[in-house]
Amino acid sequence: MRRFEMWWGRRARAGVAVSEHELVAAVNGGPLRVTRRSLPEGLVAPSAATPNISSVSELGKIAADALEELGVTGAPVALALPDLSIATRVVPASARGRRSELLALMSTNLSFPASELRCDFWTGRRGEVLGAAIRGVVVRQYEQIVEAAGCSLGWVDGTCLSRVPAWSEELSEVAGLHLRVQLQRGHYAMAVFVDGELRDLRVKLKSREIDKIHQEILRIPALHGEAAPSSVVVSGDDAEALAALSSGTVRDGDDGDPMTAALCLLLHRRAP
Amino acid sequence: MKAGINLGPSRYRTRTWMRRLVLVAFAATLAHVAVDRLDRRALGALRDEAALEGVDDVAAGATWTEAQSRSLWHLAAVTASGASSALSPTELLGLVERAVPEGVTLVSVTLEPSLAEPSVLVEALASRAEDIAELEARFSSASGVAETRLLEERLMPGGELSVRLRARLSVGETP
Repeated sequence: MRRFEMWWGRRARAGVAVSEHELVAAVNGGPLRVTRRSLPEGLVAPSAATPNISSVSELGKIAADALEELGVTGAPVALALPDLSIATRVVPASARGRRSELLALMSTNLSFPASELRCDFWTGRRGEVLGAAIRGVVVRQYEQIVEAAGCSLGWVDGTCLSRVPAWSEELSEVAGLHLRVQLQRGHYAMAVFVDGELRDLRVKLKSREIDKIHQEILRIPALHGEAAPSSVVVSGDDAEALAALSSGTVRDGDDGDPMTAALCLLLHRRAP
Repeated sequence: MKAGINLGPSRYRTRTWMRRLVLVAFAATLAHVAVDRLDRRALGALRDEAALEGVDDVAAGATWTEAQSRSLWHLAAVTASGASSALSPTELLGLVERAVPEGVTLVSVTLEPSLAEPSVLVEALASRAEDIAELEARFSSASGVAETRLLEERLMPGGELSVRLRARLSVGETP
């Protein structure tokens, strides 16, 4: 049975999430076990255009050490990449085209040559398409840290990006405008859903003033012809502070650390 | 619906589909074998039915076209089932040759490739009752013969004994 499951592709159990500050490894063969490693300053600098890791071998050793602590050897390992390393674009259902057309669309406005593009698409229940693109040289660095640990690759997704399908599922039958905000130490991702359809996904650097995110949240409804958001759920770093600012409009999702939450989702997916 | 974005190299994205294709192809092969076996069973039933209906058609004076089309259809069914190989006329004649003892004159041999009960009908003349008993015993003990029945035994005007004997053959066994 174990072998059959492996063949059928159901055993993506381990995962690694990387940010500029830390590396999180998790394994879910039973209760979820998580281990963290703080990263030296400058080792990882997320960017869509330039290589992110100053020393792949050093980060590879850290990843191998974390996975070894969890007893992961040779298993497929999912990767949750920094969101700032990935370029995203939402194509509404009305403008959705063939894959080649979507690829052409993703190739525009990139900060790197389109020939080095590696991208994938996810289609929502309402027919909208979320495209994600990453530069080959960038993603290869992250893949090398998994290979350095002697493991094969599972899913490769963005930390906040990986939550979009779950949000979409949750909001697929819900009318009105809904915002889901994932805050991390250096950046945040904001997904805008209108009547169950993903309309926008914004990934931005986070300023020290949390009020600026609150101001953005207040501006979003007007951009989509709505008076006010039906719900705003924030999670991650500073979620509590942001919820406190909004006098009830914004709710703290209280689902813990974004990197661990992303890994939880990736480990529950079937192997790619 | 796809579970999410995967920015991994394409070989990792396609491997699972390859595995699934292999498993689906394997399952399809098993299904094909199972269906084939079911078909063969159905053909066996048709074969039996054909044997009965073929006789009835002739007896009931069915039109030639109907009888012909039924026969052709039944023939196709039997050929597909592989049952025709059980009724090799050459081997049946060999069986008769081995079974007829000295002192018995063979008058006629009729092969009855009945689909339900393939058999051979033997008419013979003998001067002694012991020879008839020997003939019957040899047929009964021959391999490939399921049952032997003495249909008729008559005393001819010249004093000879005339017999008609039917040996029912085992389907699927070579005599």
